[in-house]
Amino acid sequence: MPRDMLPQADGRLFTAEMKAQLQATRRQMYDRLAMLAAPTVMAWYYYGARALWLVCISVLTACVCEAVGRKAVGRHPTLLDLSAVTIGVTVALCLPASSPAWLPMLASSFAVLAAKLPFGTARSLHFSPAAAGLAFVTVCLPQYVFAYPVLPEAGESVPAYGAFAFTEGVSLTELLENRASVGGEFSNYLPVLLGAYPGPMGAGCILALCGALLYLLVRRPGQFTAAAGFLAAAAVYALLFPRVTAGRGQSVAMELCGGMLLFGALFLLSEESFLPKTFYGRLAFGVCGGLFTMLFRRFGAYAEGVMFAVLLAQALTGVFDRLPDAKFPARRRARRRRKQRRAAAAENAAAAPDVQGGAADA
Amino acid sequence: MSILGSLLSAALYACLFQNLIFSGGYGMDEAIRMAAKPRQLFPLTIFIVYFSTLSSVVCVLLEQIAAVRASGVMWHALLFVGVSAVLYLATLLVVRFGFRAQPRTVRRLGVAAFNTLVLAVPFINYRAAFGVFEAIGAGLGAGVSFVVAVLLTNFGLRALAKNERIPGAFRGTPAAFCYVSILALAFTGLSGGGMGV
Amino acid sequence: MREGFKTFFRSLSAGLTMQNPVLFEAIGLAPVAAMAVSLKSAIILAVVSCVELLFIELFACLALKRVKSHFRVLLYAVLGVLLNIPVFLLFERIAPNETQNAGIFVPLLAVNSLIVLHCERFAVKNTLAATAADAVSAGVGYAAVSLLVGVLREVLGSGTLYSRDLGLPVQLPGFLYPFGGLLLLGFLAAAVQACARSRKPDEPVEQAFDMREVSESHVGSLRSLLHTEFDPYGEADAAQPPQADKEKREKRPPRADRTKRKKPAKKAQKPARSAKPPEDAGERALRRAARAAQADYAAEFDEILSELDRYRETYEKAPSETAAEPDAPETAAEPGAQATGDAPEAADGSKEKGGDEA
Repeated sequence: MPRDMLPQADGRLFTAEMKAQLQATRRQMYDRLAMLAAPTVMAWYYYGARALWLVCISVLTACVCEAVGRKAVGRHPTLLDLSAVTIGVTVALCLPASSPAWLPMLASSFAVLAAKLPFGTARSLHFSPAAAGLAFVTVCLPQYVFAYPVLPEAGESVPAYGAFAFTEGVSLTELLENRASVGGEFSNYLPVLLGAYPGPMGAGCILALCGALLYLLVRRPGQFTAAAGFLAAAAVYALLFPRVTAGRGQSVAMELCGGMLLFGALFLLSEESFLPKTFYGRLAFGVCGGLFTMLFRRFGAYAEGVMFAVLLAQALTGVFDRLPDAKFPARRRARRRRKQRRAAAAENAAAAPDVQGGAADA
Repeated sequence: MSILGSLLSAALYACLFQNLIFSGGYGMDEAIRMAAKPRQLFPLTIFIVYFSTLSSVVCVLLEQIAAVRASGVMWHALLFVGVSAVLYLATLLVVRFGFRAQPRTVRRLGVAAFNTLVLAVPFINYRAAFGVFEAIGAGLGAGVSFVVAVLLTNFGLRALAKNERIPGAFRGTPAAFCYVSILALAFTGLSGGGMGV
Repeated sequence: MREGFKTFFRSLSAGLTMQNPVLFEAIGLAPVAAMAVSLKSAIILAVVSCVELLFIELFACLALKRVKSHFRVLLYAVLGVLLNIPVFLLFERIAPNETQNAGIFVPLLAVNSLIVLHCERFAVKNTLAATAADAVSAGVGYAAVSLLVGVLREVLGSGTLYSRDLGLPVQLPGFLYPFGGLLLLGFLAAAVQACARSRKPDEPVEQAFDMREVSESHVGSLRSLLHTEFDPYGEADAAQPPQADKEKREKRPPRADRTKRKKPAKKAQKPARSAKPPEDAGERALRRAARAAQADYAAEFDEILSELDRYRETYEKAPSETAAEPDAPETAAEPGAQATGDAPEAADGSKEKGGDEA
């Protein structure tokens, strides 16, 4: 039975098994933080120092809640696995740059205390804590969560929500709700690709997120499967049931680029702890998440529904785990090689007694 | 088509957009308790659908009487419980003596007839001024929402049972409550809040 | 007397903590999660639930022990709604806004699972004093949780307490929704469990269900479920009776009593022998012939089985030889036949087989 960070009898903090698990979790978190680096930099570039300040507050709150919460339940804090840091950064990047400081603090503390603490460590979670935290603040304070500011001038920091200088911009999700489009020309989409469009401060720069997607493909192909299924399902839904009257192509572009969809596919949905173990399971999980997201966007009570959809899809992980694994060419080759090796070993074992018997007779 | 449309929309509302269990809280304890032992799920769900649909249709028809329409909430409650009681007795006679059902099946009848979920459906129809077909849809939606809630909670309870890292203070019912609360949070994204009935 | 008080206070403290109906038995969740959103509505919920629980449990203990459980469930609901009416009217006068805000939950308290479960589990099986103690302890536990949850939700969700503004900078309306109530219940249960474990680490906290016994849902085997589970004629019970029926069987009176009860009915149904019609003789002959045929079949079947046993013995004794040369059972059987006492039969059997094959 794995020990959950209880102090050891000989005074050591970790057993060898716990160390190995910690290192595995940390490697995952390093990858996620590497993917989050580009959106964070773009958020600082467009929104100024305030964006970084919100990220830092969110991370600090998550770490404090983790330490205090784990202590309260009689366990050692798991800060070393960097899961709290990842949660803090993820949550902050999904909020507007103009949000008050207590908003990311609230989201991070809910994420850690309600969605992480009762279920153990980062390897044993059932729901994405970041998605739960975002869902909570969306339900409680939607007027703050969806108040995206107009991009400030170069060198200036974005004003806080409610300040005199604050001006609310029109985000892609708002355009989609009003059945309006950005425009038919590719040049209209350049600001969207570069992140120079009102929206969540870390989820706006599509190019940076595409880079993160490529990183995920190279480093964690299993997680990429889920993200790919998610995006494919969302794209197909947007193609078949466009909300935008300007055309199906624009509908697909706007749905994929708008809101937190791409960010959610990378950082909310495709975390190893909640993914099914098999290939088809992950694919179905991603497809389900994408469909749910589009349904929540269309019929839900809020402009953005990716966090609710992710929570619902994660509740069905047990169902997707029953789907079979894939037999890829590379795996088939490896299996064939293993079979050949086993057959050769069996032949040698069968030939060996004859040789020995012959020698004995002689 | 309009009949089918109103039936379907009422069912979808009861099941998804204003999920009676996760957004409204009706029948939550039955759903959570059933989630631990779902082998009795399908017979119980059939009975719940039967009672919620039939009682809501009968209550909607009784609402056409002016005296009933003018009465207050508690008199409506008495009427709804009375209708449920009559339906329960009639069904009990048929199931027990007609089909010669086992005591186990008959016990489920009592649980299915008298619970907050089944009694809430006629109230919701009364508050929303639903017609007959919408009442049927609401009854069907109540049954489907019960199944959805039980299955989702069952998946979660099984995952929690395998999870050995849950802190001691949260083992058992506390973790189950936290799990169901996050499920309810997910459904809040559709409804936008509580049901407010 | 002193012992009685001690028992009462022990059950009261258990109802508040380790045997709390809401926190650990998962009873009566719906009104707490959906209705207890303020202190005032929690007070209404607590009072109505306690009054209903006490009166209905006492009534069940006094008058409903002999009534069948099918009808008791109905009576609980009817009594509940009848008790609800005066309490509701009283609260409508005292606090009309809160009663209005409570919506339909006050009438729904008539079918609260708290009442049904406590009456069925306890009231109809125990004495009046014990039932009263149970009703009070469960009621107090339920009321305490409702009030605590109501206070927390009002402070966090509305920023008020008893409708008085507390001047909090942030309000979180999410706590006013059912998920907020469930989350608070989860954390309350965790806090109580942690305190109970620290005080009495050996005593287990009562749980609504044992997590180790959570069974699988039947998403993948609907057909088998419909075939085996939904079985009103009890055919599945004959094969594998469930736990509940096993317990019932244990509680049933001993076999002698049951046979005594059954005998008069059998005697009444048996017709007199002399009054049998002449067709019975023919039927009896047919039955005798069928039995004889059955006996013949049985004898033949025994012979086949013994032959099979001999054949198996022969081949099991020399497996490598028989595996190598399946077409030469005679040569394989001979060494085996010499070794055992059954040798001549085995040799004969195998020789016959070899002859047949030829």
